[in-house]
Amino acid sequence: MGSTRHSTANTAAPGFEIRIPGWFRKDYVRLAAFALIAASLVWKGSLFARGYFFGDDFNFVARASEQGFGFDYLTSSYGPKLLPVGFAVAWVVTRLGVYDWTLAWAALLALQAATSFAVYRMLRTIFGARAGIVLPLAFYLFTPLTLPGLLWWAAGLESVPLQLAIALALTSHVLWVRTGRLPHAVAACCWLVLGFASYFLKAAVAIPLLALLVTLAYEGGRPALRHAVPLWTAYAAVFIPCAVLYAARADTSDQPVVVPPLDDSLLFLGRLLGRTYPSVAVGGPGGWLGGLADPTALVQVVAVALLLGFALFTIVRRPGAWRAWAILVAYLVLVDYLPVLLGRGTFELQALEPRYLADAALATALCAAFATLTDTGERAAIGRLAPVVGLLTGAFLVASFLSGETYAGGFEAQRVKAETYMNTARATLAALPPTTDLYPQRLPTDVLVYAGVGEANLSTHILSPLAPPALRERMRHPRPSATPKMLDPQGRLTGFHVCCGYIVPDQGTRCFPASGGAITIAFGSSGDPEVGGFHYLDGVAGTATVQVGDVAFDVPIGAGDGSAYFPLEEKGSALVVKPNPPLTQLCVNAAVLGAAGPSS
Amino acid sequence: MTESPSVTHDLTIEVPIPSWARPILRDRVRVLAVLMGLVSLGWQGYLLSRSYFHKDDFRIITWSAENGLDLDFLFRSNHGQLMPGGLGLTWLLTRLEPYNWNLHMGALLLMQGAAYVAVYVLLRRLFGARRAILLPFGLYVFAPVVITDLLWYSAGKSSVPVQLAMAGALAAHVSFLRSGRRRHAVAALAWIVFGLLFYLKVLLLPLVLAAVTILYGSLIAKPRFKVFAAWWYWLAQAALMGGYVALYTLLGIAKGSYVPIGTDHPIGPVAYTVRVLAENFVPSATGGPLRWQTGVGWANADPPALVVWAACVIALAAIVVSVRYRRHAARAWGLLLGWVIFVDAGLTWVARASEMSGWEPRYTADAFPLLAVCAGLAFLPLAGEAVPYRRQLPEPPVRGFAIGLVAGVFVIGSAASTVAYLPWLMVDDHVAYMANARAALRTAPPGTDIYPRPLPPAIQHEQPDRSELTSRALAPIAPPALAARMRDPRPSAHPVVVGDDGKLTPMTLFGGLLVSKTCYPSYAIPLKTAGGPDVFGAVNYEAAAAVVATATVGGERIKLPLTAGSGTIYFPIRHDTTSMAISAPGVSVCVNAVAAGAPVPVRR
Repeated sequence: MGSTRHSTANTAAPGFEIRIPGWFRKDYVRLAAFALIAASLVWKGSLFARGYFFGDDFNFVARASEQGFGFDYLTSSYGPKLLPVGFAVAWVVTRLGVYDWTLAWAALLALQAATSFAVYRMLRTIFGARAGIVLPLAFYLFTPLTLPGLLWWAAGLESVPLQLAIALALTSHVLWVRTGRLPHAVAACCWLVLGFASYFLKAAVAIPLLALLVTLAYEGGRPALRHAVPLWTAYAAVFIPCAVLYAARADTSDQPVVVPPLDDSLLFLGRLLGRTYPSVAVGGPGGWLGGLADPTALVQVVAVALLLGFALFTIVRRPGAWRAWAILVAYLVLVDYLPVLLGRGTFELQALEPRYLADAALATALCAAFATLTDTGERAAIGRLAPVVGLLTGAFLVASFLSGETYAGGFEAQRVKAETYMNTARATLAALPPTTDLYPQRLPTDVLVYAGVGEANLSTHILSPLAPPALRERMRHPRPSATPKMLDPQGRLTGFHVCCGYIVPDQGTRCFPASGGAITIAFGSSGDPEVGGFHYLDGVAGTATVQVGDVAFDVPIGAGDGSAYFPLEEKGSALVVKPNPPLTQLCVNAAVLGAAGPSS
Repeated sequence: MTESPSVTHDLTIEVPIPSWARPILRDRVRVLAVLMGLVSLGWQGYLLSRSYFHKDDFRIITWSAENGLDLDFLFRSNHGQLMPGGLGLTWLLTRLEPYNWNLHMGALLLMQGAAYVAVYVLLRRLFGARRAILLPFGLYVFAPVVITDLLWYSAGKSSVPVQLAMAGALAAHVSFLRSGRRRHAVAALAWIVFGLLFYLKVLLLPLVLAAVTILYGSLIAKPRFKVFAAWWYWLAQAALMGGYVALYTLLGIAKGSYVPIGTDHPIGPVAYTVRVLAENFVPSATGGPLRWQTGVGWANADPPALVVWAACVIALAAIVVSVRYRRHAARAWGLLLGWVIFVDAGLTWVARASEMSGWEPRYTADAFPLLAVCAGLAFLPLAGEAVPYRRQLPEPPVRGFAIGLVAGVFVIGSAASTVAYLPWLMVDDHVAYMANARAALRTAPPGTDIYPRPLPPAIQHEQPDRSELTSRALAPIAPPALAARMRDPRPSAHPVVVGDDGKLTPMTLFGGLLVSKTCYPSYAIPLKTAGGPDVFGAVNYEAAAAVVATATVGGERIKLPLTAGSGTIYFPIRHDTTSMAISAPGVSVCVNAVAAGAPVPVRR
């Protein structure tokens, strides 16, 4: 080292020293892996920073805000899914800051960081501390396959902990097979539960499948499998209660499980695994249509050629490599294709969504490592090909970066709009007196592009978490009011109007006729969330009772001319208004019922 | 019996490699270099075919059409630049055919190809005929900045000769270091003169030659030729530098600069240097910038922040690794950084720094031949060098992987960056305008009076010398008689102008018409204007008979052909005036409305 310093001084290079901790020194594989993980996190963080909550995310926050942390909340169904881990993270994040995007993505990025380290540990455990594991790790860290399943918060809350569970469970499984020590078995079962709690349908297939195939093909074969019967029994013991719970709680009414016809199923297969998977895996697709991969024909051909060429090359050069690729094919079909087909097979465009393939990045990295690293002497094999491998790696990194740019760029305008709206709404609500009557309304469609599974796009649900506690209660339980308010499309406070037109008394009469003190105005309400109201003349301060269908409530009446409005979610055929003592009569000269919107 | 000898024998086709081609093909390094150069030139050719004349191109082509090949033209200031070479080249191309994009394309590609050859020769001279020189060579021929710099004629015709002169002078200088032969020294001097004809930056090339001599002279030439003893060589360079500065000062070239030369700029020197280095040069040296933004030419670099960081990390890693293994590598990086910081950033900052100019590719393109040389010096052994490395190099697979990785990032990045440049070549309006104008001028009826107005601002903005007026910029593509009348417009009853689409269209004057209820007194018709090349007057009149009246406007007498009855006549006003007079001997003429202003198309 002394001579180095001496000769460096000769060249008059600027001198600076960075102290590297002892445990880090010399372990270049770890150094490289950590550097790559850090770089990938910076990259993914920069993409997160350009995003915002989208679609289901809003409902995740609203649910977390409305419900306490407990079994009911954690195991509440979200369409055909249970995601206790995702809901737990959403709950903690929401309690720390409502609709705080930075906090939300930082939490998810922390999970991704843990997953990245877990994948590194998995590769290092299985293949040892050799330089060759850096390449599959780099593939996992930088392939755009994981991006759509990460950058969309609701999707990431499912898919990232799933990947974490797969990596950890597989590591513990292999360690147990090799050592037979009890703690590894306990850990493997815990990680299996984590997987079930993250994304039951995928974890239930992915983890056992990989554990089985890896053991069979590379970790001792059948004898090892026979030897592992106790562990598999433990897995089953963990699986059964989870499956029962899942079956009891999941609700498939919104997204029924359907087996599409054969040609549709094949089309879906071709799209998902023939187009989306290869083109995104190798750094594509280059172009996106929203969240859908939109690779050019050239990208598709190059991608398929690269993957097939790589697989064939390893199969020809290495006797056992075909098993790795067989595992990958089985994984892709059983974990990434079949569950998606059953749930979403009728929507063929969803075969172009790489977020269903995020966990395939991990499986691909693992299988590629099996195909290239299992024999000794891989260095001699790679030796002459090193420049080609380097070239492809460099090209892959640049292509991935570009695909990430176009992905984030495509959403940026909508995300900025949504964030601006939510920030304005937050400021508006913070400044309102707690007695303000904010009536339920739908959020603008460019803010909440869609409302999520079985959820209403209503401000009572989505926006109330932003309000101070008193106002929040009133938003969630709107009352009759003479002056209801709404938010305009920018999130500022505004008046409201009810669509579409008023009912007025017969021509020549000033008021609706009253009989027995009660005024009955015929109009039909559908039971959907609506707003009703009436206008009166020469009122005296007091109250009147309104009855629609089976519900009755009091509305305030002011002195002189005025209006009274009330939210309504009741089926009925008439509006009955009855002034309460000391009022004896009320002149109602117009009534209204319909969907409310901001007055512009 | 049927005979078919063609099927009874196997057909063997032998393609003999001609004897003259064998030595050419045997030199693998050269073949590969030629292939690389051709790939780059092919891609540049395609990109050029999607480009067109833009902005300053119109000024220098207009000048070329208006002037003979004389000293006054060649040595005039073009926005603060002295460029007899560039103006002479443009003059030649304009003489061949004005506004022929293919000619300009060809000239640019030829110069670029020559620069590629020069850099290849230089690398080969320095490092010998080894395949490794293709790496620094690729760094030059595939650099996105070098590729896109060519796409604006005004930038390319100045910048590519600098690249050529730099490589040529360095190659000759290296030979001179080795051989001491006078002809190599003369060649180096000739390259400097050649470069000076095109661009001021070449003024600092002798400093690069001196730096190379001091830093690497003893390694390049063994036994060391005492090159500094060749005093006349250095004296001649000093004389060239001094002479150029004197000429530049005496001719007052600096006065023509569109940004005042000095230190008062909207961006400080440090911020500007950091921008040039980190957001322009370094990203492009690693395959960036991947994204572009609006610029003075077609587009400026706009690297995303992560690209800037990644590029800086790669550059830093290259420096650290090279310094660790290669002796004297730090010197090469010092030389390169010196050029980028003091010439590409510093000189440009003094001359014309704006908020945008730090991102302009044309100001850093000339650093790339030097990058190729310095990257070579930082990694490769010089031809005949005994102990180039400090320590055992990493094993071949590690080296191969690292080289492949950087090459993959660079080549794919370069492809993506230059593809991303395509949408910025917004030439459709330019091409349509010039095609329409060409057709309109060729088919205009004899005697058409085309009054001047500016080219559309997207094509060329207002120039201090008003060379953006159609009367000057479009005259080169008009038939000679029409061109003469465009340049010297006459009074006319029905003038037309070139519309924004390039077609001839009726015109009116911008501004109001001063109407009188009675006739204006013919000796004092109110007409207040500063006059100028695109200022015209118009009068409405009632004439008892057709007559050629004489108008006096701004001290100039103009003949106005009036028709019998009422009519309007337009006429140029060159100088400032407050009134005009009309005399029509023997015929009663009543002027009842008068206007002055710039010709504009009438909206139909």
